[in-house]
Amino acid sequence: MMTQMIDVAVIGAGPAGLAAAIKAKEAGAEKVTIMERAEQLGGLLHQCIHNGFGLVYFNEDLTGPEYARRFIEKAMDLNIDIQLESMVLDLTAAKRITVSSRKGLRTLHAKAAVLTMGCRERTRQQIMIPGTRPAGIFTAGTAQRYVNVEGYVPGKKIVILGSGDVGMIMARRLTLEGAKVEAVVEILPYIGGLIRNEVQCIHDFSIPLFLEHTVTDIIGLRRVEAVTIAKVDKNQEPIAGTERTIECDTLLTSVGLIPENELSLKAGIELDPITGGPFVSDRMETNIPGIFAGGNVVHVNDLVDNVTLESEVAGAFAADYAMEKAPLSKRRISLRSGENIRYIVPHTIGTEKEVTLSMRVREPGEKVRLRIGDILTKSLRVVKPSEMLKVNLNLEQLSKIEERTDEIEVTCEKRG
Amino acid sequence: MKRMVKETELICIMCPLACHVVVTVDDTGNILDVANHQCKEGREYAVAEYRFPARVLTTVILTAAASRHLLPVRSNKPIPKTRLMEVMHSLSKIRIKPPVKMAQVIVSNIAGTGVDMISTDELVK
Repeated sequence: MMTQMIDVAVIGAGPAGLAAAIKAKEAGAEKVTIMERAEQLGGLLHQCIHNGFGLVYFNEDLTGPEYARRFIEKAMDLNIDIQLESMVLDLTAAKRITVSSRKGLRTLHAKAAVLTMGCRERTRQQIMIPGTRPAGIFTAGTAQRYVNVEGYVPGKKIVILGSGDVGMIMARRLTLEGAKVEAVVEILPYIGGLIRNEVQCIHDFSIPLFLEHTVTDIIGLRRVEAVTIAKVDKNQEPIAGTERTIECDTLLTSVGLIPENELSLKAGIELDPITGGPFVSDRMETNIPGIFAGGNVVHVNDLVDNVTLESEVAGAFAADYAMEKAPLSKRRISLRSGENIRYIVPHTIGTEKEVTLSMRVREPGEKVRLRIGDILTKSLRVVKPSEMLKVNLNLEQLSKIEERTDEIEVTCEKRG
Repeated sequence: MKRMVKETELICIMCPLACHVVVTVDDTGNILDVANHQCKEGREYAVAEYRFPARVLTTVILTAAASRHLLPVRSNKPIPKTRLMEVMHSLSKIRIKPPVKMAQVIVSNIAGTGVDMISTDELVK
């Protein structure tokens, strides 16, 4: 087996991988290789034909393919080594990478690695809906691929379980393509995705939205014929007597995304049970020195722009590590999730580098105060679990952290 | 004569607060009042959304290429919401031949809307 020596290996060529590879190259790493199992660059952006991408990063309203194209062209211009149809099968803590491709098995030895494998959809099995096993049940992302890439509309009468962004976007796409979306069913009292998608995908087309409801049964032997939905109580248990049956031939599930970290586990990377992704420092470095991570493999983002920004940090520091640039001081301060904070990325920070914190709240709240230890407080009109909170900490704020502090609590409390 | 007054509720998308803004208009279409918003952007959004409810349309069209079945396209400007289905219908009759570059006009003045549909990816043979 051939062994190739490289500086920075990037695993996955979606928006995270492209951003990390570009930044690593720009930061001075010579041999940067991206490994991608699909036959094209850009990850899932090519099937996300809707607009709304790039508003933060480019200050422009782009579609998925347009957003991807800008980074693909840049990666090409920078002569980044791109290996398509190349699936990474193994990664070790010593950054030995086993890749399977048409050429057979190969081993790469990288000085630094960036994990950018993204996430995948939670499936029906994982949410355990009872009923038969007929044809006509898809994840929203699979349906998106059928409609936008393959050219098939999966059904005529559709029910969508879950109100994540992909689910709502598919409600609009399927309506435009002539299908009838009978219902979007959400177990929580609020939608799971962005407000603009609720307005522009659900209300624009008068699609019935059932909040605090779930699918309790799937009817049909060969093909879905109907689903039963019911209202749920505070514990998300169906309430007897509230069932109603909706005739349909297709059920789409949009019930959450899970960071894809099988490979990370092989390398001995520790995962945060809340995010499902690696614990990372402000350099986006995992617990294994020289292995960095960025984007949805770390935590599921709601905007691709944030995936790009975060992965640029991972790529830049991976390049530094590969070039053996003097690392920042070893001082680590942990961020602890306090009241109404579900998680914070990165998990640890230093005091010598500006950092952007990405946070999600547990519960929606109005008129709240976000507090980051003694260094920053910020009043917010509204917070929602579906909309990520981002806060920048500059060097001046970081300098307020006392010498002996090794942990800072972040809270989001109701203003008095 | 009593003037007819109509109230329309619009959900503001400018921030996660999602205010349900109420726009009150008279029978000649003059906006008499905007209420329930919590900021200036909310008011502006509601007025713009009431006066010209329009959306950028993104969809796919069939191709006559071996490389891919479908090509993604978008409108270069927002299309009135009420005419989206008409535009979709009109696009369903198209089969585009390669090559197509990024941002190439595929159909100009689609369905008489004054809006062009442009490619959002390239199409090779």
